[in-house]
Amino acid sequence: MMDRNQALDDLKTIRQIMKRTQREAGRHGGWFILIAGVMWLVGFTANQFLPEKYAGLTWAVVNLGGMIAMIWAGIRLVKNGDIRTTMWKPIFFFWVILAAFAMLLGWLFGVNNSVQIGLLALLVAALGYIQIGAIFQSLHISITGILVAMLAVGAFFLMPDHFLLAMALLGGGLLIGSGLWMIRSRR
Amino acid sequence: MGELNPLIHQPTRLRIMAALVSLESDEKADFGFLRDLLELTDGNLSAHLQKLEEAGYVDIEKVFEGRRPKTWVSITAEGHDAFSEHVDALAKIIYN
Repeated sequence: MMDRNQALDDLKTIRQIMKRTQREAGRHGGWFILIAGVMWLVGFTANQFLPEKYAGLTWAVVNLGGMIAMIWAGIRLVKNGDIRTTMWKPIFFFWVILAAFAMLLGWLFGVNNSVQIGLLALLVAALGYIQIGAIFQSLHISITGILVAMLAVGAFFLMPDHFLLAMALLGGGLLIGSGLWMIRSRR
Repeated sequence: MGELNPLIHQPTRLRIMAALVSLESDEKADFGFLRDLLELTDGNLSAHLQKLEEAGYVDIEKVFEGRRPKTWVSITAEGHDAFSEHVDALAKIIYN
């Protein structure tokens, strides 16, 4: 007959293993966050320092490169990943719908300068991270989203003249750091 | 409330089931992933998985991906129920 302490030990073991499994299974999501971080760093730096025309061109190149990198990372994960899942398609469509939603919001509210566009994109992306983190029970991804939203709003009000640079360095840096931390996090 | 399940009660199998139950419903774990996660040897993990498979608690799929053999492991609905009942039984011991 099992006593209370043994039962407590077993439940503790179950909790630890479940937590570790979820962390390890979600580790590869770090690559996508890392790629997004590099995109933000390059894109927002261009917004801060380059004329609008060239910044737009930079974003086009960054978006194309980032999309190719994410598709490549996705294919690698499907081929060599530790966890086989059919969730990639819904995740992809989730981000496409979210991007379309952001564009619709921008159009409806007449968002037309690079700072406002940047803030809107950041807040919608942060919402996406929070949602994805909630769906996959990954606290790291959700916290990254919350921090991105707080940074974006804070920088928008506290340093409006350097908002884009702040987002490049702080937002991009946060995503790159979070991505690296998730990839390298081991039990 | 369920009863303690003698098959799942074994410490290594308890850990295997806990790992599998925490994946999403459509997800399967690679054999090597489970082995490294639970710090087991190939033989040890194989033996315990076989017992769980015989009980209908896990599903084991051996495939070739390219030229590499790959073993995918997932929990069955029956395994889910059995694990939940086992956890309920543990809770019952603690709170009674």
